[in-house]
Amino acid sequence: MIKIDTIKELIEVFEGSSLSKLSVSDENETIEMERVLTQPTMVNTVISTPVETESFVSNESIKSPLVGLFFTHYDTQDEPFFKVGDTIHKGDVICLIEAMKTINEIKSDKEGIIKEIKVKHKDSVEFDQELFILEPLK
Amino acid sequence: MIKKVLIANRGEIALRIMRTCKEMGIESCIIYSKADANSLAVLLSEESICIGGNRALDSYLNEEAVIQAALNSNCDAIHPGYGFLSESSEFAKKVIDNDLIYIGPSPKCIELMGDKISARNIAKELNIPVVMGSDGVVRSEDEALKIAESIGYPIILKAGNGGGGKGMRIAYTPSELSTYFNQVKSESVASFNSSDIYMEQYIENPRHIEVQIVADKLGHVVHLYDRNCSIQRRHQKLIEEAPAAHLDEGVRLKLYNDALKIAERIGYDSIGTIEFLVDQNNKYMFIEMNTRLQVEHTVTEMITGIDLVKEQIQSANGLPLKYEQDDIKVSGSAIECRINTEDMVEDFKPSFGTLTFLNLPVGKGVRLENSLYSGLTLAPYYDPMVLKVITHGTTRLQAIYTMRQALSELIIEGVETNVEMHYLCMNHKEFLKGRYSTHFFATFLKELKQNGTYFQKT
Repeated sequence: MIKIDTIKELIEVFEGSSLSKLSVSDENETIEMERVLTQPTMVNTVISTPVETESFVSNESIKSPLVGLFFTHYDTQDEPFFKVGDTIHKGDVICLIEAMKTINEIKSDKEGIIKEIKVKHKDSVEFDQELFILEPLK
Repeated sequence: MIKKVLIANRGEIALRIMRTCKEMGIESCIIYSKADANSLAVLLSEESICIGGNRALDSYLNEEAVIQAALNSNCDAIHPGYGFLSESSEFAKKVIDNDLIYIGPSPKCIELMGDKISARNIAKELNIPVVMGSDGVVRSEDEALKIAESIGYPIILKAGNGGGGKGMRIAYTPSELSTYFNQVKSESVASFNSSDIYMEQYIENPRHIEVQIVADKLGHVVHLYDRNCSIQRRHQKLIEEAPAAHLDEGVRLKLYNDALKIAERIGYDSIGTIEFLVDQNNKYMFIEMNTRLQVEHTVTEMITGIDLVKEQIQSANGLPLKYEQDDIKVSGSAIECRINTEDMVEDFKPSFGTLTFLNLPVGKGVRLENSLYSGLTLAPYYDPMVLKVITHGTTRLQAIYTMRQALSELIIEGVETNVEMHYLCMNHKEFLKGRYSTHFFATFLKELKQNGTYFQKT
């Protein structure tokens, strides 16, 4: 009979080692230990959308959902939809992105005060590029 | 003339295309998905554009985003590489409609040869032997059984728009045929959005031999000899060599002639590959044409000294071929091993993770097409083929010796790979003899499982 203290000791040794398997035998008994290796799983990680919180500490950004040309406003407008310092709300059209000769109105999925606009009217933008930096609403 | 190319692909082939562009003094811009932001191709590129999310459908297969990326970056041409959008005539058309040059054949050629049924009809019109089968789509199980009766078993069922070994079944009896017919049909709908199925006689112990051709837009076409791509697992090629060893010289010449006939008939105007099966009695049959750059183009480059990507770009530029058939000589022998990140012990399950150590082989006669670096994290979104080791020797045996040496120096830690399998294959007597058929790999695996410790988890 292997003593419980011996087993405890073995566990400690095993845990401290880089071994994946350990087998100890005396005349009558065998103790086998095996580490369950944690392997990188193949599951597509779900990309979590930022959790809405009432007051966020850091600034948030709105990123480009597609590759294209960035417009702050329609040609028929004189003024951009939004300027630095303006407050935007969820659902507001904040800019246009032209892709494959189609104008896409980009709506905000966040709210806040525009701190910075990272791209200029008619700039090329790529997927996931930062467009607007938002400060939290007071 | 093309001044700037958008490389619409990833991994080793993106780098392969980029290199030739640089040599030719052509600028390039590479597209990438979010998951590939740290890929070697992006890190080594002159310019890169993120076009979408991790899934291929959101990025590399997103035609609109790819074309818009070309417009954003002022590219005047798009190179599709292989896989992804490289076999879509619709995409090629869209590229041209946006006043960009498509580096590949005209959409008409892609359409004619991309559809397997149309390709077969063209070969038949030219009296090129084809595998006996259904003349067109098989509509019902009853029809399948009737056709099978007339051409004989075994029968292989294929999805009309399938590829890469997906949507295929071999039936040895009528009852198997009934079962598989419905399976392939539902798979075809699910994977390729088409219920088209066709069937053909199944050739036992065939060799997969293909002929590389190069054509310009002015009607000239030459062949760059042949490749043996018979080492396949589930119709996915693993090892290719050029030229094919022990191929009957009469058959070889017939394959070249028939490949050229097809190219001339359809007015082919780029680089491409005509694939054949050659059975144990030297009967050969046309199977399909690939209207794009292929993974295994490297072995042909090694034995002919011709840069196929350069030829592809020059033909897209409308320039004439610079050589006649007689100018193209074969020098020595070349082999390519495709290194996949997969766990052979776990039934080839793709393996992912961060590379903790990498040593790449170098030396005389060794060429690599690589997408790895130490520290790179491999994500589970794309093909597991990450590296190609190519060796060249004055003889086939020399190329094999060099390959053994190269594989023994190749160390990849952090993910599972098939490097050892390749090494064992380079030492297998059937491989050394060079007369292997497409069934070789299955037998080889069975042997490894039976007689070695190789398939035991350590």
